[in-house]
Amino acid sequence: MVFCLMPAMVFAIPQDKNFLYFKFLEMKKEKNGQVSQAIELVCTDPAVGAVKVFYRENSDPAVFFAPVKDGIVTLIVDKPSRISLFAFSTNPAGFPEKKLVAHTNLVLFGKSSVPAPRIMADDIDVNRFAGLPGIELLSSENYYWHQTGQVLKFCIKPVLEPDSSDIDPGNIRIFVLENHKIRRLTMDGTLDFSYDPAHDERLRKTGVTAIRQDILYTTMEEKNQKYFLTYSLLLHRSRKGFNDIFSGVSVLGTSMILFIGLILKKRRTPW
Amino acid sequence: MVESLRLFCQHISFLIMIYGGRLGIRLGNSLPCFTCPYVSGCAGHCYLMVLQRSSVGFQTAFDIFFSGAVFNILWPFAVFLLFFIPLSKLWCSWICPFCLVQDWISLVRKKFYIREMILTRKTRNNIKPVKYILLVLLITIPLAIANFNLHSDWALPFCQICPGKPILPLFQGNWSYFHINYTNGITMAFSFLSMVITGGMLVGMFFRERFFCMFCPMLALMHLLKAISPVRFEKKIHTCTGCGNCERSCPVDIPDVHLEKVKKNVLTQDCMGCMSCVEACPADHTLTFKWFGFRLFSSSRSYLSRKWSQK
Repeated sequence: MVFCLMPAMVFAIPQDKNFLYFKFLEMKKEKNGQVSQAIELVCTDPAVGAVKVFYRENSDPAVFFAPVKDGIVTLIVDKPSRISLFAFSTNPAGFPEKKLVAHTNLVLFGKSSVPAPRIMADDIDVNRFAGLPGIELLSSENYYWHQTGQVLKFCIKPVLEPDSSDIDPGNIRIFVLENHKIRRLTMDGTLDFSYDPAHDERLRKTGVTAIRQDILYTTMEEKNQKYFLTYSLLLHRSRKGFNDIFSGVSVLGTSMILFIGLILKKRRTPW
Repeated sequence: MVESLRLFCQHISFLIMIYGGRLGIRLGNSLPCFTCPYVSGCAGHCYLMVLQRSSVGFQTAFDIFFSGAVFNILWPFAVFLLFFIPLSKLWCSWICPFCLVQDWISLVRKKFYIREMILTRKTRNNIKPVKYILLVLLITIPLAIANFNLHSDWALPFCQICPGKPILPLFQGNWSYFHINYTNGITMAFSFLSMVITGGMLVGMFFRERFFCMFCPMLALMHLLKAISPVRFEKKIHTCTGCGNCERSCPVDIPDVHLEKVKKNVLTQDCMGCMSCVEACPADHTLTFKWFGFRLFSSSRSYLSRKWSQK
């Protein structure tokens, strides 16, 4: 099942590696207060099997199934929701078998009395995919509003059972496709991968809600399985990175001096 | 004394509003006073911010505005009314934390015996429309963002220039809002304007009591809704001696109470319900603050003589 071959963003991902990843499309506020987010599934492997998409909401352990229509998943929420979205597929051709896992996190601020449609995932499917590893974003200071210039940490964990990880990150290398350039993430002392996304001129000019999407990817082999993992990271511009306190205090001080001077000069006359 | 009681209430409310969130107090985001969301750990948020926001305020597309989602916009307004209606403008002088900050700054001036800046009636009349203009702008700019492709960095236009944004977080040790934001031209212009306005307001608050209140769009919004409030400020025209004490004691020099010769209700647009004028009135029951028809506080000769004999 091939959804979209070689969009512009994929050009820099090595061609011999076939990945599955999410590409964020339009977010829409519905008239009834629900919020919908369209997400395109992009797969560069022409021989991949059916893709199954699941998600979790907030801290609810229940796993929901997200139907894919023309390569697009549409998430609909009726309340503020932190969503963890996963897509799984396999390519049975060749040995070892390839397993493709895509993961992302997003927050949608729905506010509606009309309940959003939800389909509980089939337990058989959930158990089939539960142990698969995925790239996981560790919660940070700005836990849902990820910004350029902020250090983000990642690790490899089973996506549906993140607490039961026995994956050794020692020989894993995670790369990131950042604005069409590939960078390798550095591993820190806690064996997590650090990513410090560079500031982006486009985001600075566009506005506070503008987003950039970076793709993190890695491959790993374990127990005769070959895994191709991606994480789609949504980034906003830095909120505080361009604030200069010295300039602010200088302008404040200057204005105060000017106003005090003006008042003292006119102190004998009513305004 | 009423003045001491007012200051006591204001200090308690200041502590609750600025630090209450850390004790688990949550008063929502529709409060009719300047308790700033930029203060982390505050107990509640100023309604003006909600008014400018998307989904719950005026930064909303017209098609959504005139659909079922309008309930999301009306709900915070209904909560605002629930807070506003019982106390009306008494929120300003008795609860608003920013009003107390202004009182503190004025107190420093008084301690140094520095003369207050005198504003002529003409200047005061010229300033009056400013708060209404700000109120209109803080509604129309978000509407323009949502419907006419105005750049999204114009969002929260009033909050971006409000002096409460840099000043109130100081009480939690956060002075990071005294900055210039170099992200782009719009953010730079807003942050520059914010610093100039904050500088001007700090100086103004020092030389003039309740200087910021003259420009406060919340006061304008409250005045527009005063008809539905149970708080009334009444004057008995026939017992007024015309001494002018009310105008002299008023921190914002409202002349209307003194000059009014026809209307019974003298709750004017700049009045913040501090009751200084009622305290200073020498004629029995001439000035009265009423709440749902009950007398809250009324002027009295004996009260005034007691107050002055204590001084």
